[in-house]
Amino acid sequence: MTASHNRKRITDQDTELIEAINAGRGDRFPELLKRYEEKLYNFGLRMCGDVRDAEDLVQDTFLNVFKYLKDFRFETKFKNWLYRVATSTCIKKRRKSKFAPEHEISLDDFIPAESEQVAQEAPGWARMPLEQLLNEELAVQLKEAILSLPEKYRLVVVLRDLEGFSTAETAHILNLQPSNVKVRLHRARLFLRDQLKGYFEQ
Amino acid sequence: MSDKDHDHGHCLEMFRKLSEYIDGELDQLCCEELEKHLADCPACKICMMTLKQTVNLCREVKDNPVPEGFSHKMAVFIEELQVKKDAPLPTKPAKKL
Repeated sequence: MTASHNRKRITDQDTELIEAINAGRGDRFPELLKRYEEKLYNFGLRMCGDVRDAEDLVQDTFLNVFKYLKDFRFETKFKNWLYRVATSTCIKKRRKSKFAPEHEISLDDFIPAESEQVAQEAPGWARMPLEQLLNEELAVQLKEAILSLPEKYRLVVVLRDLEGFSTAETAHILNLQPSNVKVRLHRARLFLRDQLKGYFEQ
Repeated sequence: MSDKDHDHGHCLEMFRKLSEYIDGELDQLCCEELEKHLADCPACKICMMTLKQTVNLCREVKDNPVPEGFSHKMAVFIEELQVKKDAPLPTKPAKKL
């Protein structure tokens, strides 16, 4: 028996639809598009920051899904497989945001200096309830901060904190070790925190 | 961290684990150690609170609707793919003998 036969089959809310499409009901493919079009568009927008690029990402991803859905083996949730296709499409096209030069983020940049004078209380924004804090201006600031992250960090924080994938799922989507996902996520979050701190302290 | 009696090295060790702590991914022992440290160290506590609020804000980012007309464009795109897929292959001209 081969290794692929031993893998557990994962079923989810998309299984029935995918089985039907692969069994010849190509007319049901638009249902799949409808389920994920908006999610993928927003993923594209977060990664590229541009409406046209986000639209292209959805189109190119679904072109690949159309071509390769017959090879889907139900070894992962369909959504995770879809994001793997989308991420790979995104990376291949090297759609770098004009705001985002590629560079490493070092943890050292965020470590407070030993001699630093430290406040005794967290700043107001860190103690406020989210519903009081959130507004359109802050949402724009946060999106711009995310777009200014180098791509490899942006991918991780978008998948983990905005799209809601777990560490293990993100590792699978990006073909990384979970430990690498954690390292990149921590650095990306510290970067975003510094950007927000700058905004609130203005 | 301006406190001279405070072990900066321990702060750095805890600092590296803050995201895992926020995500509930630390084992019980590490979690207890970090919580004990946070109770004693205002600098790390502030660091944790600002980082946690950053994560909370990211999780609250709302989805935008797709632009008007985009769904229709995509539906047409998929329809065209299907037509191409279902179209009979062009017949090869017979080889001349």
